[in-house]
Amino acid sequence: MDFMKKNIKTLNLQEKLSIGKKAATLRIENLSVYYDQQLAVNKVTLDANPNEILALVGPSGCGKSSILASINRMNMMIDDCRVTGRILINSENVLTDQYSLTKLRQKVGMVFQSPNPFPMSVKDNICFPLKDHGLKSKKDREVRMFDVLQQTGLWDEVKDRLNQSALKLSGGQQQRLCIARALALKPQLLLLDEPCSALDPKATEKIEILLQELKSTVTIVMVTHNLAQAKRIAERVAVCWSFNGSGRIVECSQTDIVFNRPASKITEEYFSGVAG
Amino acid sequence: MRTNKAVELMLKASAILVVMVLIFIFSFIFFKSLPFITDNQLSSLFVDDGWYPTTNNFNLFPIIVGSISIMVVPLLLSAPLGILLALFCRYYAPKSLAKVYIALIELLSGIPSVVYGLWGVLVLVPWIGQYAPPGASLLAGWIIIAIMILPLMVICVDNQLALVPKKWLSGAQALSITRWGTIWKIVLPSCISNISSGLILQTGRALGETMAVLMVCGNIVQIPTSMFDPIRTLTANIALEMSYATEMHVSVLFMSGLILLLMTSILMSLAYAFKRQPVE
Repeated sequence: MDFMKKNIKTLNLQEKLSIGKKAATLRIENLSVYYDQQLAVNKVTLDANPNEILALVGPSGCGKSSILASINRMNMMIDDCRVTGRILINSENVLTDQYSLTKLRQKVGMVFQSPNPFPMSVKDNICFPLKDHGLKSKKDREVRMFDVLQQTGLWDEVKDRLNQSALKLSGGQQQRLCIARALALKPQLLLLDEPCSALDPKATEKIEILLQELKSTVTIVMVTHNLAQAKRIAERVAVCWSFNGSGRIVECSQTDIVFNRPASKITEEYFSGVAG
Repeated sequence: MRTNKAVELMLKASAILVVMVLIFIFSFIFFKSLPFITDNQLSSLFVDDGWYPTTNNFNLFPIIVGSISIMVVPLLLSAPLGILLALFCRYYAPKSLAKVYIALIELLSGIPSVVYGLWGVLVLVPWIGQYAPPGASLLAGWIIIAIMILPLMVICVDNQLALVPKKWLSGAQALSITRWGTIWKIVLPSCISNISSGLILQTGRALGETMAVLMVCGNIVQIPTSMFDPIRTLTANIALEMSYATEMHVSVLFMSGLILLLMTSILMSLAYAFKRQPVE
């Protein structure tokens, strides 16, 4: 009896942390973002499909990061920030107050521009968020930690220093640890805000390979300044451009189309270095 | 690096000036207490029959005990409260409320100690006196000092909390970590040593506080056996007796100044030992 009870409990928990759920579909409809009445993102509509990497490219200040931060409602923390429109994850609008923030943040992982592992051991960086989310069994947490460290290719590099401070890892390792930390909550969608801009080419390559592998389990939306990177790893590319201070998407399509036969004059000039 | 000669000279001069002042104060106090140190044995500070300066009995021990006790308990009272208040302001209170709150606390820290003392004499001491006469007591001193250093504690903790890197906090938010989880596992571990360091420095204020303590503690030279006993502190002792002290008595008062200085230095080194470079 006890055994069964335990099983039911584990099942609920697995449900809670959405084990086995597939990569999400993302649809952004008419998204506008205002910072203190200043329109930063103007009626953006965008899709991301399961098992693909969508790259958001464009010059600084065109609203790429604002779009990204709207998806997991991070920019709602900023004073005077207002977001309108709809963001549908698996057809559910996440921009309503009814949609729980905890559920959203668990379903949507985020990786930041500069690696931000917590000031604790490598192990705790993964296990502490799991514990905080209610994964009570130490063994379950450690199994999950092993999985995500394997997945991110970190296991062999850090298995002997799991109890050392994560801040002692190299920049690239720290960033992969942050990806692992996000993956530990079993997200269906992963947002990356220029994840390689603080890294050297070698570390960047490792992350790019990792993202290629991850797209089979999670939908990836990534902001990048690096056009070559978008070309290398993205299935589709969305070009963001600022019109009088408000960002808009000028085109969004398959990577080779955007790079080789862009529909918009702006894209063509931006890619050839004339504009931007 | 190229430098401007005039600016450099000015900076060096002011740096030297400060060091000179410090050396002057140290040596002044030292030389003034030298007659006592050479004439008597230092042990007389602890073995004399009592504190009867007119008959050359200089047992400072009860007064040193008074000073230490007036410092330690308020620290234990106000440090946890200060940490909780600062955490509340920064992580729980609505932003507008927190701003007003911090401004009020800063105002509180600017109230002169004599005003706290006045309230102590007119309200607190009679109130304690109703239950345990005479009222002027160690307890009254604890309460006054704890109230006085509380705002300093809050400000000091809040300053340290402000230094916690934003990227850790946004990382925690993006993972939807609970507020308390963030505070307990990320914020506090990263700044608790600097908070301790700051709190110890603030304790130095309790040690140096004179006016309020003089007003509410009763100033009787004795080792307290309960918190309702009146006590005298080193600072109050100097303030009370300097006007009529002569000869050796003066030298002993300077000696007690030297002891205060020593105690402050110990606190400072403790604070320094706790201090950590912020990690990035």
